[in-house]
Amino acid sequence: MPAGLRAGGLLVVAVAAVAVVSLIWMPHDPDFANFEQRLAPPAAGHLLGTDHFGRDLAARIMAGARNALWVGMVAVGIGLSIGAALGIVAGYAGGRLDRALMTLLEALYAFPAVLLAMLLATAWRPGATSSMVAVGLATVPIFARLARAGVLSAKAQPYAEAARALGASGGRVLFRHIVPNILGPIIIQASLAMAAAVLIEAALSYLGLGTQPPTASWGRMLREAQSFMFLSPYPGLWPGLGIAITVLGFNLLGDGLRDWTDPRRRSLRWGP
Amino acid sequence: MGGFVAQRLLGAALTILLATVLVFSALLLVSGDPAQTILGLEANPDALQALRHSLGLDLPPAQRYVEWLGRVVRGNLGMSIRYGKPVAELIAARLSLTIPLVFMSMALAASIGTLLGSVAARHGGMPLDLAVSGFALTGLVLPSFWVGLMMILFFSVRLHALPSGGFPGWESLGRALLHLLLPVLTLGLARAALMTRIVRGSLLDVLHEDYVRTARAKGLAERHVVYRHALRNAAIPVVTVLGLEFAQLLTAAIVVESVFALPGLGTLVLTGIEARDYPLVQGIVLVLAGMIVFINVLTDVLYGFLDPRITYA
Repeated sequence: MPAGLRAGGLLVVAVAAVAVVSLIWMPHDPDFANFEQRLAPPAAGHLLGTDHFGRDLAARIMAGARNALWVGMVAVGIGLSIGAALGIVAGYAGGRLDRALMTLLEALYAFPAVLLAMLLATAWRPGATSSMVAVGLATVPIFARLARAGVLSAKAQPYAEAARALGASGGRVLFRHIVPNILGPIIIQASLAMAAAVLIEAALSYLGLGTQPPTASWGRMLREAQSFMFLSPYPGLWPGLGIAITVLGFNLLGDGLRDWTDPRRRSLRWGP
Repeated sequence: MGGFVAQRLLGAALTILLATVLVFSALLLVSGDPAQTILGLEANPDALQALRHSLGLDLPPAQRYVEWLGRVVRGNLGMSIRYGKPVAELIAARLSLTIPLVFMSMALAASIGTLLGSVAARHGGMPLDLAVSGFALTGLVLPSFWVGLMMILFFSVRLHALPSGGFPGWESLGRALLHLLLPVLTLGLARAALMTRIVRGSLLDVLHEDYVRTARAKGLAERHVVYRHALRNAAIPVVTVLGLEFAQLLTAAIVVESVFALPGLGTLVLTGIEARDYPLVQGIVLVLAGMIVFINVLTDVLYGFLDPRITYA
């Protein structure tokens, strides 16, 4: 197994472990304010220090990991399920339906997640839901293109033709023979999309368009830390590291899986 | 070539049309009465009726869309509720900051990316390559707004060398550029990371081609081979990525403007969202999406010019 893949897997498992542990145990209540201990540096009682309300940063980072993974998973789930379904339909049906769907998706492609989030935040209320839906919708065209390309190439393979020749129905050929063969690239893309989703959710929360207080989110923590950066660097340091580690993990995992499954790329190179 | 350009323009027009549908439909997602949401529960009924009328809410959605589209096509994006001024005017004023910010950052990203990417590719697998690749990966995983905060902390708070934010206007070019230095660095370095990866990967692919072997075989210096022969051919995927990068850069600029308190489109749209100023937000999103579509078409056309082998059927 390549080193990048192993490192990526380890980082992702570590962040996921922190998120899971936060469900049953945290060093302090992440929302408990203690004004006598505002902006404290790391010490025995508060391993990572405290923020401007005296809340324990370690607990907030743990709760933030849970939030980041949850938002990322829901967003990627939305993008993957809608995108892959549309792509498979477009690729398998071909013709006019294919052209119509692809034109629609092309239009969606002109809206990066942040723009969609702005529209949704104005229409609904800024929050985790609007940001998850926005990030999810923005990834729909990526998954759709991938699934469509996979179906188009798999459809022409001898195994699909053989299944058809044996009298298998269209649905059976699609779900028993074609779909399992195009899953690999989609799973790899899901890992890369997860990295992007965590990064975008943090940016949206930073702008006030994502997760709302008091729920701990890394982006929001950075926004709040900005005003007190001159007094203590810690509230701004840890969330940034949390984001970086999570994004690095999912990126390495996705890149590593791609290199590992693609024999042409099994070399010293780690990027496109 | 002419036919291809026409075809791409037609496609872009269709995309923009669909984009207007999407931007318009966002207003339909508002639960309850948008006029009530904007003016609050205690608003006077006459004011509510007037706002409903000016937003066109007293018409059926399809008719409202057609009328709205008719105005948009003529460059009328409506009136901002928060500012009481035409949306188009507000956007034009802010673009004079956002556009230079985006293009300066793009130029910085492209130059750093080309330089580091080609250095890394020339030393493929060696320590220098690893160092450059490490930088590229770091730039890719760090959120740009966090990098911006750290730059403020270091250059403004610690060293007192550069302004931490704000923008004095273009009257004094020197002061304006000084205020844009940290934002451009923040945006440019983050995007340079991806450019470095693309240039490196694309050059590594090209360096195995026959014409590169030929150039080496006739005894050309390695520097010459890389910069004269390989880099030009490696530029094709780079241009494509540069086009796609524009969308990323534009949205990253919105975030970075907020970090450095720059009065650009990003801060304008955030004010609009907070005030639930639908015409303003719709106008800005539409303009940004239009810019993204335009740059994508431009990239496609450039692609054809750069590589004469590409023929469009």
